[in-house]
Amino acid sequence: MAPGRWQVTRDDYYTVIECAAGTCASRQAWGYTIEDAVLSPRRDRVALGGFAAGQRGPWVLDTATGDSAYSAAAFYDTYAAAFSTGGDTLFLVGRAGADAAFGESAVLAVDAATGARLDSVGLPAGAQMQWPAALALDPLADYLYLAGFTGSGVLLPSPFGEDREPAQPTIVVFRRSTLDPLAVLRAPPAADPVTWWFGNVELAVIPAPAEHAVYVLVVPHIYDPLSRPVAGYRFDRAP
Amino acid sequence: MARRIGVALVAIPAAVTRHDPVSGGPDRTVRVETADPWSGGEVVLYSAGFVPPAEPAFTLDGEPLVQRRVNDTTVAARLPDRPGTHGIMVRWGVNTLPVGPLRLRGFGNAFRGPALKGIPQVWPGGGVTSILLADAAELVRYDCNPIPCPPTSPPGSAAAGRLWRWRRAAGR
Repeated sequence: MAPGRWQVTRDDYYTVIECAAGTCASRQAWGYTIEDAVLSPRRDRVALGGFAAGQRGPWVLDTATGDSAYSAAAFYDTYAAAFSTGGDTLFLVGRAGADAAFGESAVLAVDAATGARLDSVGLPAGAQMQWPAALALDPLADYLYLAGFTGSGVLLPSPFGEDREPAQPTIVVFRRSTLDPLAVLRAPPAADPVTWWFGNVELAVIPAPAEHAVYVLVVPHIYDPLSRPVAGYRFDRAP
Repeated sequence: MARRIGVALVAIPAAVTRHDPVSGGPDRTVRVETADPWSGGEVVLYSAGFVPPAEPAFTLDGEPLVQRRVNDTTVAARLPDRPGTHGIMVRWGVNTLPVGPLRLRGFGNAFRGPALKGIPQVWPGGGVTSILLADAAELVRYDCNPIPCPPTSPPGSAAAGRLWRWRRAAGR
């Protein structure tokens, strides 16, 4: 975060550790299930995300102090975050309220420095996600990508047997400047025989404009008791 | 004043032709305004001949598309999530005319990487995709750029090497 100040994610708990004169101390720790800590290109903010059900946290930290800069008050949970290339705008995806269903997730754009709300939009019809897990901005085009799992009707086994969930890797494409939803792109349920349980993985959405592609990577969570391969899904993007 | 009247007289026959659904001519030209549309997104189509009361109806591989009028000369049609190249047609009066092939950008393919656990990260500004692997003993970062990586063996994962190459990053 800053000289002598480190951020650590471990077992879903996020901790700020400060070191001085050869001694380190845990300054503050936040949980539960904070899996994502995104550093601003300006290096002045860290946005936290994760499947933090039931917690309203200090979602955006000031790297200069290690303290909360502001929280996304519109959200009960914040799942994922992405900064604009210049670090001026922060995009968040989260759940609108404590009593809201998972299907009521929304994308929020705020001023990265102050947290002032700039714009917001709900997920389009047919794109409600079990877990909207990753956000990324296209570095060369006016696109914002949101990746997660949507239900497909295909049931996949979970590590707990009785808890079966559908999982279909999906990208929702928004026009970044207006947050207008442009498309909902789904990998076919049978695209890869890897059987994922959606709560036991990490997701990343990675624009690769030089390849005219956007990738979704599904990576087993560190506490997954099984050994599974990483799954990748390539989506074509216009040149 | 005489010059203005002359222009108006020329323009009137052109306008009549534009509304004629069967006569053909340059006003039947349909231009796809959305280059490489997203699968499951919208395609915007323009023609001077779309001016009401013309009611063009579009199909993709014969399947009718839900459409909305953007303005008097422009129509937007909702596309199915069906990546690939498709034929788009317009039914215009009694005629059905090809607009041309339309490539929809969407899902391409799936692939498998190595058996890893960790947190995928994209470093700010670097465009490098990394996966951080942590256990009680160490933290290791593997960088992979571009994706999927060329097929060589990543450390500790022979099977995965068929698809991806993982480079042990400096500064481990």
